[in-house]
Amino acid sequence: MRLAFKTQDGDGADLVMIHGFGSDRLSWLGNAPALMASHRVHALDLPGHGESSMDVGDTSIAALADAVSGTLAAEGISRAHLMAHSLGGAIAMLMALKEPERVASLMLIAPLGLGTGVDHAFLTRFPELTEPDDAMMLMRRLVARPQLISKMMVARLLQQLDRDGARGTLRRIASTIMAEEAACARVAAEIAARDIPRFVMWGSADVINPLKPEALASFGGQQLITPDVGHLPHIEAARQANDAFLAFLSNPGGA
Amino acid sequence: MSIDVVMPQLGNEIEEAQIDSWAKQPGERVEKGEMLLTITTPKLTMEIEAPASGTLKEIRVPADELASVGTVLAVIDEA
Repeated sequence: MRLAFKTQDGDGADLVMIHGFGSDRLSWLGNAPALMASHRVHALDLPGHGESSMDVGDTSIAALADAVSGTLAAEGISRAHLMAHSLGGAIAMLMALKEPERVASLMLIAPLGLGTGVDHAFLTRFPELTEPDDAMMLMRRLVARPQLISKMMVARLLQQLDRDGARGTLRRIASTIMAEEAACARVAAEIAARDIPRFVMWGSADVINPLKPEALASFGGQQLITPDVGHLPHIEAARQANDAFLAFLSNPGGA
Repeated sequence: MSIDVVMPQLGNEIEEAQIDSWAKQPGERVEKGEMLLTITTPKLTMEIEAPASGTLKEIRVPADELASVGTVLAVIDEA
């Protein structure tokens, strides 16, 4: 499956942004411009999200990773830094494990597999949202400061959910996340044993995929924990995130 | 010296955003790095920090209006 894919501009090494469950490539608006000064930045829509096809067969993490991998190959990207959020983080880690030569580094934001577990109520409820008030309440759980979720965002989300096949595909991806979380933790443990350059960012007030200090300690690499920030630290603390991303990218190996 | 507060780059797919709210009003003191306003796109809300310390001299785009990337949103009198 070829995914919707946009190259943002910029020169330098390739950097690919992989969003989380229920999101899309526009969620990187607060980060892509800062990274374009030193990197060629690309963002894609996962299967069943954004402008990619809603008609998704296999929704396993492995199949999602294959779709990303195949799209990068088709775009002529042989090796890239992967910046990935939540579900995207699990996909990026699996890609790094399967084809380490294609992954220059992992930049993971509250990734699935390293937390205490994704809130199942959120995953189950999300594909069923139809009312703006309910959607606003649920989306506000993503952030520490509720004012960051606007009516405009809620309206767009409900529109996206109403596209043919969107809810059904999201339901299946939500089931995948719940079923494969333990497997994602094993992938993270395998990554920890390798010398793949890695950076992890997490909000200490994340209630969707709360951070797990012992998992982070054994994962290693560079880390940034931001206080008073929820599941979208790259949006809620964008400037701090971008400074940290650039510092990491200037020396990913930490040597 | 006057410093412009400009609608930031939002990547090459989004060209405008709506002013959500102003945290300061003209005449008020602002400090560099302090949250000055929030903007909203269909995808996310972003906080824009004051680019300089001084007095907020003028707001050129009020809340609820759209502005394209690069538009001067406000002017700060540096002091």
